[in-house]
Amino acid sequence: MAKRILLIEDEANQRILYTETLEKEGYEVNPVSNGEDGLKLLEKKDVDLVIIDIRMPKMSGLETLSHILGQRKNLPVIIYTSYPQYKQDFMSWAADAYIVKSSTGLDELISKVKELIGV
Amino acid sequence: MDSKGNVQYGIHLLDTICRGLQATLDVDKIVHIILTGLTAGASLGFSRAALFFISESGLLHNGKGIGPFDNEEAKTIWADLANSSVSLEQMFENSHRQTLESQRFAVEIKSITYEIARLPHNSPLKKAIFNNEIVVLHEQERFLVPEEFHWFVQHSTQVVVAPINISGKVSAIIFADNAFHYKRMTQETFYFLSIILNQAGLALSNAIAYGNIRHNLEQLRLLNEKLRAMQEDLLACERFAAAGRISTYLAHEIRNPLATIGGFARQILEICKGKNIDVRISRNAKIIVNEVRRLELVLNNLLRFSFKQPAKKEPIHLKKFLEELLEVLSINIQDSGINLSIEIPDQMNVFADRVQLSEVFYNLIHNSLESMKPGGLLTIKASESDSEVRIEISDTGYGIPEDVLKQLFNPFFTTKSHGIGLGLHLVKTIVEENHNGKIDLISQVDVGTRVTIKIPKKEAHGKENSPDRR
Repeated sequence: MAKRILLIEDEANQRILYTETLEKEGYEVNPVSNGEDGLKLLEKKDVDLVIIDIRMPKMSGLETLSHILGQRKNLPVIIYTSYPQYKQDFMSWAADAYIVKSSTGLDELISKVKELIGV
Repeated sequence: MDSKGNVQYGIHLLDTICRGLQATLDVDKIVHIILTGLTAGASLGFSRAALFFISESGLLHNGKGIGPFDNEEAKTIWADLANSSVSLEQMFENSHRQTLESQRFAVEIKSITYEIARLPHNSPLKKAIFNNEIVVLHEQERFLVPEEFHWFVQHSTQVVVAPINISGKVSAIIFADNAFHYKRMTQETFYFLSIILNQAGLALSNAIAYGNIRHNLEQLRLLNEKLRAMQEDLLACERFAAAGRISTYLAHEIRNPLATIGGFARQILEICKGKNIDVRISRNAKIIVNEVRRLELVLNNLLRFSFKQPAKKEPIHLKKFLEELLEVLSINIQDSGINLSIEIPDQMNVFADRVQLSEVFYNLIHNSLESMKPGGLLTIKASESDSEVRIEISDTGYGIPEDVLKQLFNPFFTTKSHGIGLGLHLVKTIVEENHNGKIDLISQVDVGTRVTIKIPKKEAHGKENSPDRR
């Protein structure tokens, strides 16, 4: 069975891009556009890994992250964001990886996913 | 002043002096008018007069004097005066003052300074200064003045020492004597003297106040100028800061869609791979991918983005890495008409942060391209030892003058009209601080520049930077 990824990304185009790219790598991707939806989905569904953006409307990625880890403290999480400065925020240290978005950042994201949960 | 005519002349003299004093705010001129007035004609009976100012620290100084130095001079001066038709008003003028200032008596007076504290208890000078009284020294008493003044009191039989009150304080003192003619001073003389000194005090306090105001005004004007200059600087700073904030904001806003565009273009490339589709699709997608990368490099540089982060080091295949980067920069290279020579061993890896290493090469290659004319040669060479990888980037550009060379790595130092002077500073920080490497630059004007970067193969005690869980 394919490994399940929860993708929390507010920007639609990016959601499509990451979903398609990860699906091509053989993962089952559950994309949602905000933190609340992500947390709801987590209650219903078992996932193997979370990819989360930081700057999002309503609940921020870091806040969402603390809720996620409150529920599932061993769930691997990758922060994928345009902003390198949140790395200084100790809340972000709870994630397993912090990757800065760029056109080539996806390669890094995929190799990190593989490293954390395998194919 | 023992006849009616003399009194009349005295009143006329007084009137002229008062008018003269009222007409000026120049301290030197006022002093000149006082001294000239006191010694003019025979009416007041003074042959010589000297004025000293009293400084804040209690020093008699800044003396001015008018009158003959000795008997010979007295005869000449008085003979000249008798023959001349110069009016008192004319004598008050500055031109006249300058002639008198060079006379011997004036020069001697000017050279005197005397500390009031040194005056003996019963000194008549003390009485004049501290009691604000006109003191007349007769015959033998005249030598009660300090020794410094003996040379001039010895020619007279009477000496007047009189204070001048400036703004309620005795701030100057006058000596006047009857040298060489020895006429006795009368009660009227002292009345007149007292009136003149009152007027003089008023005129001097006005002049000094005016001088202070003028000085303060000048200070104020200077301060105002400084303030205006500072305001302008501040405004320029604010504009600069605003421009900085706007560019940071824009750069961040642009990064996101760029990542999406680049990502999708890469997907298109992937989809085309190995399929029999119009080759232009994959070629064009490749162009989009490269152009997006190029923009990302520019933005990273603008945000000084990558070097704020600790290096995420990994083994990077140098040849492949550089080929990719040069492909991204191929538009810049083609545009500048530069030839490339790459000499990098096939299997060489460098242990570095991918993003930061791109910044280093991007900046150095960019600088080289900008310094060369079409036909120039950009050479990138690499070699390795047991401990380090050594990369050389050299160009045949216009080189760097020695005075510039020293400041090259300083932040905000730039010789370019369109740069902000952070490129090489960023490069040095990345190589030396983030990678424990070393950067060296040698340059010769009109020959070219060679930059050598050495990066250790593995750090002795550097920390790896994949974030650890909790």
